Amino acid sequence: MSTDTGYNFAYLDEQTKRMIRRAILKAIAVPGYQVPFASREMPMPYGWGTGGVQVTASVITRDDTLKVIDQGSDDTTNAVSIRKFFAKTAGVATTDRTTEASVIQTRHRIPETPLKASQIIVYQVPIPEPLRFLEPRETETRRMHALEDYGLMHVKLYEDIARHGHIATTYAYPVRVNDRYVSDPSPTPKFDNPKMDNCPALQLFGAGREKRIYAIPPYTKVQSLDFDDHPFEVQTWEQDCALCGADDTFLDEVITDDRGGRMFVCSDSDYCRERRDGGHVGAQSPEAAE
Amino acid sequence: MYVAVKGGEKAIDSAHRLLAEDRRGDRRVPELGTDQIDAQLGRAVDRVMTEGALHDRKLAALAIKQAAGDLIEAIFLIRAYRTTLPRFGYSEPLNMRALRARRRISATFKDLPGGQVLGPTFDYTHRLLDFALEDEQPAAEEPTDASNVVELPVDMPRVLEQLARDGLIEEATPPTNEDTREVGDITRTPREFPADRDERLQSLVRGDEGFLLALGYSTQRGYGRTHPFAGEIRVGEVTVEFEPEELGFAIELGDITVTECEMINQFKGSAEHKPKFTRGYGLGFGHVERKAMSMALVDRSLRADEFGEARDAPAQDEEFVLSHADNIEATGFVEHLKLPHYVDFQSELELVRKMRAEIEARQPDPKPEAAE
Amino acid sequence: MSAVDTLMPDMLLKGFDDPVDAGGRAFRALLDAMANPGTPFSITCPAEHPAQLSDAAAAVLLTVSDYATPVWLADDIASTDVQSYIRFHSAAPLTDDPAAAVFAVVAQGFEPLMATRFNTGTEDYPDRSTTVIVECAGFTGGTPVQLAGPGIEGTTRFAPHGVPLGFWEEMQMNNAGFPLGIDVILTAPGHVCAIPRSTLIEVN
Repeated sequence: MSTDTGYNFAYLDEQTKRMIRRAILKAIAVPGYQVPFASREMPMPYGWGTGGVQVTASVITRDDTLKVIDQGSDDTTNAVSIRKFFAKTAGVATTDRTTEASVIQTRHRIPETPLKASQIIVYQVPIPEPLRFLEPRETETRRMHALEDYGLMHVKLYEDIARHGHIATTYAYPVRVNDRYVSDPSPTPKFDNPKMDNCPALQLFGAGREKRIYAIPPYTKVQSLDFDDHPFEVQTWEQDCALCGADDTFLDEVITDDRGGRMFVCSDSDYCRERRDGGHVGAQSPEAAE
Repeated sequence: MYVAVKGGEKAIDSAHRLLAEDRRGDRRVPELGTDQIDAQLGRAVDRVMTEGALHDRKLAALAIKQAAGDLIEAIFLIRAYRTTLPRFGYSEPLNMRALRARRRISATFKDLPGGQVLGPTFDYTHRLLDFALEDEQPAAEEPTDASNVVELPVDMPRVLEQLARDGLIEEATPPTNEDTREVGDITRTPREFPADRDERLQSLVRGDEGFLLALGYSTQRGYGRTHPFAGEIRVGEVTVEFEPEELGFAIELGDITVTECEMINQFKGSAEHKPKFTRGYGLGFGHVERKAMSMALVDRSLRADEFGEARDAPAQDEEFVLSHADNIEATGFVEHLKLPHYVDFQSELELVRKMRAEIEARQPDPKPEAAE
Repeated sequence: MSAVDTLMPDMLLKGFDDPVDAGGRAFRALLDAMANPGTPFSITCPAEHPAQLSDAAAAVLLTVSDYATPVWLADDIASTDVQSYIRFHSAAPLTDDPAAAVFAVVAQGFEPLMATRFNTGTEDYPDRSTTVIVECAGFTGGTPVQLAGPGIEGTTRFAPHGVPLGFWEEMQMNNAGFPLGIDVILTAPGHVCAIPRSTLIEVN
């Protein structure tokens, strides 16, 4: 498969890929540590997935099948845009199906279908530094990681509990990787945090504007920070998915009218479709209406 | 019945088509040529080249046209193009002593060799709309060369060099650790703090004009004062030279227009050391005077540590300034808030509802009807 | 050194047939190896390689080294052939200082690795450490060790032969210094296997 764009395979020049590849290897060797890299300007804006795109472009080969999701769905505009970018510049096969993908680039979700060994999931990360909102200075946070000084983070979480009765972090919920580095799972909902622990797939994180790459190798311990008296817990919904009836997935809330009407559907559109194809029905699926 | 939103691809294609139409506007109006942008919107071209970090007037004009005059968008187009270009090496340092100035002013000496040359400037224009410009003049037959309008003085010694000769200002020292390492390159190595002055200056050249203007202004209002004097501001042409490895000597690549600002700042001295003025430096492609001056102010402020000055103002805060000066980084992240955040928001919504329900459960329900 | 090498020292050996495609595939092997310590992966190799360097070690260098990464070669590898091969195909500068090396290559044999002579990174930047390519005879038949840690489901056994004397003890010390440390890529004909600093090692 050749590309007709006039650009190199997967857009990036080989020199840039080598630089990113070196960063990825070091990121895997030191799980959860953020490796600085000389992020390039990409033809899409910073904040729109340039880090994930650079990581994907550096790992992808012609044999890969790529899936791109945003908010769990393959059909959101930015997912479509990034998928088109790789179809055009790398000529790779693309898919909606989690099980068929060898590389999955995502923004804000981890698929509901458990990931397999040999799959690579690439997260788009806006702010890779989990301590950034507690301490804006890079010089300070770098020291905290070096000294394994995460007291500030625990204080913040505990203050939440004191004020709200809950840890008030619902997405980008900090994790500790391999009992060492506190890391940002990217702004995935904390619902997805347990999927990161001991995951058979390789997890790569790219932050383009902030120029950082980090990684979680397969089968690595990933612990969501918590306290003995306030253990980590994930979101739950009173409703099931209105389309497929799933009661254990992350649900999107959809406003259906201006009188307070709303319904809840799976955020993972592929998982939901697969369930419906398998005969599962929800309260408002067409089959149920018949 | 609910059908999940589909058709992202179709929506994107339609949006692109609408954008193309919107950019072109009313087709009864003749299309704008990139040569017109280059010739008549030159200051916009200069800014796009400076902040886009690529000297190419034609491409900058094209980017401005494609971006419908949105200069940050145009800068983005240039940056994204620039990053794909092959790299042959570094040019020789510009010989700024050999700059052929079309404009040269100093606010520190009334007269000096070469004189004060106003050149093409908005200074001293009365900002009155010139309605005569509404009438378009026909194109001329012969090319116009603005640089030939005035006879340029040959000898124009630099103002700060005169002060340096008497030891009244610090030397224009190269980066302090030049002997131990090569000049940095912010396009090839990730940002690191503390940064050296070479890397800071590179970031400032690319930095957003508005951001640097505001920071420079803030130093004048007391947020990290540096007592600046505009020692010398020059606009003119300078030759770019490059030494190919296989050749062993430098060849001329061509001339570019640059604007340079050398600020004279707050003197430093002590009982043992005779006082000397200090420097702030600004440079940009084309005629970018406001940018060069703002840059020089911020450069000097960022040197606070060098002079043992307290660092408590925004313009002195290296991490703050360098992390937020790039308008391509900034616009990307600000505008990314347009992207869907359903999932994160749903997470917050769930928590807020849960916390509200807990509070309601704790408070006795007033139930007014039961009281009756 | 083979007769051919001495006869044609200036003859340039070929690198990857298709640097973009082969480089991408070779990197995936390296990525798989680093992500799954102790598991060997076959790697796409260059068309030709100098006699003193295995095809896999040549593949690793051509995939990840370039002008920005000083390479250190052990004495018994640093032949003119190897040097000109690296300089031509990767443009990497060669260094005499193991602590300045981003990549290093250690020959197959029984010389101790001396892991501490390489760069182990800094507390602030543990990524700035040397990746050491250690040539070995094969990935089976040696003294078995048990590996655990990130990238390994439970534990795995690994028994490469022809590794440096005291290799595993040095790698245990290396792991004890985590997050500082070197990362090792073992190379055997056509294959790579990684032992990053995060890998826990039990020598029986």
